[in-house]
Amino acid sequence: MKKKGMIFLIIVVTISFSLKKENGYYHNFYFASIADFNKQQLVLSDKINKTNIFSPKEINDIKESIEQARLKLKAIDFWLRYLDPVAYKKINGPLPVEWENEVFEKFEKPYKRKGAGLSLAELYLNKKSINKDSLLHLINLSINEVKAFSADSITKQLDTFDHFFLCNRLYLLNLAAIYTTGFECPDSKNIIPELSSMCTGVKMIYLNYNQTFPDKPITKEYIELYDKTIDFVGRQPSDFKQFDHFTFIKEFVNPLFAINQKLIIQYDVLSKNNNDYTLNNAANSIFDKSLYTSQNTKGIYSLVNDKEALIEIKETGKKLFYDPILSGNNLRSCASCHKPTEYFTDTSFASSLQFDRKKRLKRNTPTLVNVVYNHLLMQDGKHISLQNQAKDVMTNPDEMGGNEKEIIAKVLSCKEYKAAFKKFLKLTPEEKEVTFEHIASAITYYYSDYSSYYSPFDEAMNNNKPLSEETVNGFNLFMGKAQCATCHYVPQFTGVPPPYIGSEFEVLGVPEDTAYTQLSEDKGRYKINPAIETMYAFRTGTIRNIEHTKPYMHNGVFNSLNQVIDFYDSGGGEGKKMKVDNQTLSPDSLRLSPFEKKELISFIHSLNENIIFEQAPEQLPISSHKELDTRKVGGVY
Amino acid sequence: MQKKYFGFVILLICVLFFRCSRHKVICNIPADYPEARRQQIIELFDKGKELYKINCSQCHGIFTKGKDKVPNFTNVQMDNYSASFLRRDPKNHAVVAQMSQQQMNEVLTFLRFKKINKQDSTHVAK
Repeated sequence: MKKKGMIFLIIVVTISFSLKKENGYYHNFYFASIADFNKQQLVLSDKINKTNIFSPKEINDIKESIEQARLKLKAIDFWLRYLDPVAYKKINGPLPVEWENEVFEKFEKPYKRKGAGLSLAELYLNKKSINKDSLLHLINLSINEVKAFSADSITKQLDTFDHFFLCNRLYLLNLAAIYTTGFECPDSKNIIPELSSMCTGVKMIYLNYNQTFPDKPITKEYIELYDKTIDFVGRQPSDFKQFDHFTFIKEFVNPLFAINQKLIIQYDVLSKNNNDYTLNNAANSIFDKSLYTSQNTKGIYSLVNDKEALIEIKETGKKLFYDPILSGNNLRSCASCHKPTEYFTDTSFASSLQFDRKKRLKRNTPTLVNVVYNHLLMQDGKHISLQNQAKDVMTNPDEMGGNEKEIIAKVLSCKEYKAAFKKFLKLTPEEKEVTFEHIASAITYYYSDYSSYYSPFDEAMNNNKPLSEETVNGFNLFMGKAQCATCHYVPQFTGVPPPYIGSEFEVLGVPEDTAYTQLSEDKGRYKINPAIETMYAFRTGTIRNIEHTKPYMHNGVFNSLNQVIDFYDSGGGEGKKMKVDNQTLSPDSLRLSPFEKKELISFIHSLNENIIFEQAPEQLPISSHKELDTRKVGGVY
Repeated sequence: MQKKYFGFVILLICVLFFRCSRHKVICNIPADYPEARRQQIIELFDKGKELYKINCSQCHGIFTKGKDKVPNFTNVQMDNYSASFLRRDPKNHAVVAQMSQQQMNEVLTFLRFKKINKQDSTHVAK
């Protein structure tokens, strides 16, 4: 009996040891890589400590040391960015202070995050007077933060294969969206060398992973293509302005992404991380419109699956969209400003008339096409859901001037609407009566359909359709020299960076008029989240369809794309010699040639989606109140 | 004669009322909540109850005449569930994956504020 017990014990011990060993390669590699990086950081901090005079020679010396540490960091970026994005901001944060506007803010207020680490240290070295302690502080914070990645809560994720494919997905998305653009990289001459070092570093991670998890390997097909990717990056010129972003994404990153997505489904990978919140495992291309979801377009009808009912909801939504019954004076509809035949915007005015028909609104009407890919809505990010946004416009005294109770009563006074909503009420059994939410959700469900169309650029990426050389060059400029992609991220070209969980705001220094006499007075994000950093900040909009959505900027000050590009080319408001204290756009000129601007515009035109617009309804439902029956389709003004 | 009859009816109503209310899931809001908040919770609670009845009670609870019984979920269970809802965990119930945040909020309000069943104070989700 005792002997049996002993044998059993021995077996258990050997098995447990052998199991540990199996995980060993990957685990050991993880810890060794992190230790390697930290060692380089300690060398750096030592070097700063010994420096007493910051002469150009010493500064260069420190910069070189920073670069060495950055290269080590890039090799482990794969893990760090996914496993703990908050800690990552202290290691390689792009800004000293950032206001996080992530999805979870749908339940929490925006919160402040202080950045630290290598990028900020490098930027600090460019300042006129350098304080040693401040510089050391930035590095020490990073050294401290690296410890977080040895904590059990994080390392235990390494025990299963799940995290690997999810880390890899984020890595691939970042390869497409930010790693090649110079985001988080203060010195643009390092972008391509860093990319190259990152690609080879990640290859080592793949190999170690496959040794430890032979049952769920990253396939040979993937590794082969990845080798070609490394090869491609190696053959590219080291100047990031010459880098072929288009081929890199189309031939390499996107197909790699497709394989990784396939593996995620095949291996039934389970996510326990908020980074995967919005991503769709079934999307096989980065340029698939179902890549991520950020808005619930169905609202109160979320649980409705009946196709016929959904069509009916959409039809009712369409009528309501054109119906001025939703406004206080029955003269204005959603379509008054968001003209459905003009890409759901108004191209004739910088900003639309106010409710009183005299003054003008402060901000330009944004298009509703592709709004569903934003997490925060309105140019100041006031709203988190489409339905709330719709309700706000209807009841805003400056816009449609309605009142919740009156709107419901007026809508239900029409026989046709009443019958429809009675039917819809049955689909939402938790509600006892028709609510404002029913009306708003029908409207959002109607117009969100127009966000699902593709552009020639998507077709080129997804289906290998040809693009002109001019357009491809334009895309490469967009991603590289013109620095557009550091804020307008692939694939929606809006301010939502991977992993697509939050919207970003930028301060550009937009002028009040085209003569640049003064800064636009609109405080933007500051009104919603008052802070020094958010003054004059606006949500980054999409580039898709912008040929058709003039005028541009929050106040509609620019009437042509040329003006907009000139504005960016000269370094925003600060570059135009206006005083902007917190501009997030570099005030230096981009030095784009007229020919390059033409190429850039050609690329922008390739983002025009092939949207099929519908005609307005011929008539509106008849109300039992006679005075309501004089209303016009789409409203009067 | 008539008086007797009247008394009998009242008695009957009382019995019926008692039988119905005995097992009805009721809202249990702490006494120190302000009235406005209380009204808000009751509204969410009623909607959540209806949603729960339709979408969840086939497996978790009973809603038949006079025998309503909904399992007591612990706060930790509900927090975890709500977190996995936010994360769109693919292992979530299919119906929950479809719900809007507002609807999920209603269901959770219902579960959080319903009066706790004394008989079985713990429920282990299958």
